Amino acid sequence: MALEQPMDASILEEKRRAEQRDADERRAAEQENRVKLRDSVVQLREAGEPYARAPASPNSPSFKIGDTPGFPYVPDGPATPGNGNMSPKAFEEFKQALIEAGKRPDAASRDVATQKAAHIVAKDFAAKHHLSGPEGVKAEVLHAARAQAAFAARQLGKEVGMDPVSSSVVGYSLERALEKEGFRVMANHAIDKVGNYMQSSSATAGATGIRAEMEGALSKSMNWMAEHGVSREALKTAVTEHSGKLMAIATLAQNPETFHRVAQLASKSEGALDLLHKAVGDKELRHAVGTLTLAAGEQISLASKGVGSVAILAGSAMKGDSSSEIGREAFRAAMSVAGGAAGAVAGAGFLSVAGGVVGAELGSRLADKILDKYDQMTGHDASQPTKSHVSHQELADSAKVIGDKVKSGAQHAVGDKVQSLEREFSMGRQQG
Amino acid sequence: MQLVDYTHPGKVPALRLPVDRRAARYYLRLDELPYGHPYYSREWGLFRYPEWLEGGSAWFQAKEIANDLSALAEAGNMDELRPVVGSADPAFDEALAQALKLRGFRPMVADVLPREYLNRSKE
Repeated sequence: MALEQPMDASILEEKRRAEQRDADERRAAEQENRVKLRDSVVQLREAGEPYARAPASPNSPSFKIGDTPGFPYVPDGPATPGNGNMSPKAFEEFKQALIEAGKRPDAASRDVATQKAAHIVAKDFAAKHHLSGPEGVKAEVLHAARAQAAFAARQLGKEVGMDPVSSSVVGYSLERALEKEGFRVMANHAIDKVGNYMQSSSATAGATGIRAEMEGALSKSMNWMAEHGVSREALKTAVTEHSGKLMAIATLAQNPETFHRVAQLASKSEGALDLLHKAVGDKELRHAVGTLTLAAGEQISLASKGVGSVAILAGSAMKGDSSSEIGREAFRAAMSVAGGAAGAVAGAGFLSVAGGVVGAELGSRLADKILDKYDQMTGHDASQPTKSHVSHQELADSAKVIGDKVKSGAQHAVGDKVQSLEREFSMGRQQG
Repeated sequence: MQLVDYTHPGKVPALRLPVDRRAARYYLRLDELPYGHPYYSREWGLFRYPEWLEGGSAWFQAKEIANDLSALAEAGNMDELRPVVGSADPAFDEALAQALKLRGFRPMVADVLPREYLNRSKE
């Protein structure tokens, strides 16, 4: 029989050679690896998210947390007034956790507190739907069940006695926490979320320019807003009353912490300029503005080339005369003012006016870009050319005024720190 | 918080963390087994012996690391242990980290980057 014949010598030889080849390959790979190790560095990072955050859908049932007035979408079963879909006991616990969160002074401990609140919601949801699993798997289970939660931050805040601004700050944090628990979230403070999408990750910051990154972030947030039913009108309204100027700074600084800080400042100031005065003197804010120096620096070359290419409405915000098309113009104005202030803060020395102009231009460009993107997304007529509302002279004048005001504000508040701040910024840029 | 080093000693440069538990066995692949081992395979390098029959290696390596971590935690009373994993294989390390996350740990991943790349990205 063929099977019982002794192995041929040539087959044995073949096998021996294959083994030899394997050993050689392994040795070579090891050697290569050693060389690679010598030329490499290690960088620690947090583990990624286990799944992509999907947007909540208005068509699938949402688990309501507390009262959500004006929530037109599908609720998850019958709701009790006051509690939403939560059980009364769990809702009491949840409110206690929320009150705790409202007392926390800094973002980190606040996130911990809201995480506890979100955990209570997740437990209640799981109990209601008979979902079970080990503790670590809970988020997976909720995600697999396509669990969706809805809440109104202002409403919750009112219930536990918080003012609107801090309740939206807590609501923002709660939204993140619920997402971490595995929920898809529908929250009524949609505009807040833009700030988060502006966050840059350290992985991409070096590879792509800040400009490209901003554009990417912008288109992403536009998608998000369109998906979440933030209409053009809603955006306009939000932008007209208040959050335009917040968003401008938050957007530019790419830092949700800045947003929170500015939201707090804005709640205590009457006008945009007043806000800027406060913003300039604020310590926490100055850290975030570092990003702006980079962005403004990128714009300098552009600014020197094209003179009449940019429309600036900083003046109209100060005079308060933007009567028609109020949303678009007020938005652009707010962006310009914020950009101008940021530029002035960034170059707070004798360069402040130049910085102001550049910053204002940057802000205005961003505003145009946001509105144009929004038009593209929603199919509005985007072919209308952007009108130049203000001459370059007027722009320079208003920027100078802003620059001077901000400068004096900065001198009052910042004093000698400016020098060290500049040094800090330039160091940050080198490390880049 | 205490970082515990579980990176692959042959594939990741030493991190010099206070608690060092580096061992290649956490990342053992079939093609790294000695020739002639019943599970040795040149083609199926992704799976670790012998649990690959039960569904893939990252999960079981996470189990080993988790066991080791809990033993560590029992031995000395440290507040929170965070495992650091890495074997210069981004997809695999990410899977391992996710498996550890599911077990209730907060892992970190050690990315191995060529120096040259870092220098280039600065410009």
